[in-house]
Amino acid sequence: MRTVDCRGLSCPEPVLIVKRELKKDEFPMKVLCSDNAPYMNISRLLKTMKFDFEGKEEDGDLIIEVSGPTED
Amino acid sequence: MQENKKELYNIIIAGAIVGLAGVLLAKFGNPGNMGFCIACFIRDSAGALKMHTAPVVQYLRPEIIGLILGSFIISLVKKEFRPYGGSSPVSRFLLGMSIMIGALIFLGCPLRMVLRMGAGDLNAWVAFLGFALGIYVATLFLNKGFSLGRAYKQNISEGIGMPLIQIILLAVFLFMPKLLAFSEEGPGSKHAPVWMSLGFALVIGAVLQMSRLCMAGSLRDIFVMKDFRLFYGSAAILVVALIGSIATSSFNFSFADQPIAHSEHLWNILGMFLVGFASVLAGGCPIRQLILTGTGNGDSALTVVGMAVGAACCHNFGWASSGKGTTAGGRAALIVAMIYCFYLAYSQSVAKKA
Repeated sequence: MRTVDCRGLSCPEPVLIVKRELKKDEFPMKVLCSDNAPYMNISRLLKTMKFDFEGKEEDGDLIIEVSGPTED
Repeated sequence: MQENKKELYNIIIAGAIVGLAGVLLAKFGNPGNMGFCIACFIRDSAGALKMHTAPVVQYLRPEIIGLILGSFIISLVKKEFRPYGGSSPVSRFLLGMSIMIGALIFLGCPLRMVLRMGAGDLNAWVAFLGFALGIYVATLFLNKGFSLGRAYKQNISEGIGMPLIQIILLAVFLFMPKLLAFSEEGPGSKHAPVWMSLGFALVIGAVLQMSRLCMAGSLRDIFVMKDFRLFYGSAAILVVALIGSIATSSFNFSFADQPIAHSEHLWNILGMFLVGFASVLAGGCPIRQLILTGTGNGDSALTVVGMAVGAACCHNFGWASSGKGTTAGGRAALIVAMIYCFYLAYSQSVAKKA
């Protein structure tokens, strides 16, 4: 699984990076965050853009695993 | 969908609490339309610590201490305390200084701007145009890839530095106030009861840590990704400030006779342009920097220190405006800070790709 590392980046960089990475259409994709603000922002973006994803916490990092666009 | 709605309620409630605190703290003793102002209060605290000696703006504001500690405590409780740092510290320090220079030209941080708008101060509505434009211009650099670089995980000792200092400051304030300077007249002499200021600030620090309310972010997210969530938070502050100022009969719809304000529109616009621009580059408005500091963010801690040093400069060198208007030194400092911020934005975006 490819990993997009957004840890330690100031808002709104993580969202902008994820937005750009989504366009590559390569899934699954793992996004690493170090703070709740980007985690929430990215989750909201994924919901709005209709992607399936799962969030979890691992070793103090917040992780979002995007499996791909939601199928209707 | 359900979760999004919950987030929305959270931010609106957070904004309403901030607006309410702004109205009530002013009613119970804080300066006019300055129930809550991060720039003014950091400036007053810098004065209390004798970083500057302007006799009218010296008071160790419990609001600043409470915001950092409120965020610190809630992030420990929720296990969201994450010591991070090391992303362009010098640039962030200078952005903090720039934010303060802009804010003290206008006489208020984005939060006080909204409180002033709610109280009918039309000068603040004019300044808002500058604030919005500054944020918009900053997002152009964001879209060009602006970044101050990555912060890295730090030791816990790095993250708790600033919160610990707040505890010491609070102890000095309560038990050894003779060490500090306190204004006998002017805005610095006006303050709400200590327990009230501290109590509101602790609650707001916690609420803002959870809701992530940010004045600069509210417009930035609209420009960058058409996300209105944070905007509703700021709108809630405005609405509550409006209702509150009418209820406490402090509403005055005019340009003239506003407390601690002036009507030099061009400089108000430019001042808040700089605040908006520099805040977006720094990743958040002044209040957000305090909250992030509480969660262990060392870069935000340094931005806050930059704001305090900037405030000290503003008063030591006569750059800060007053009710009488701006000063020549202040206008010059604003232009220098503006040039610096544009240089920083350019060098960390467009120039990096070349």
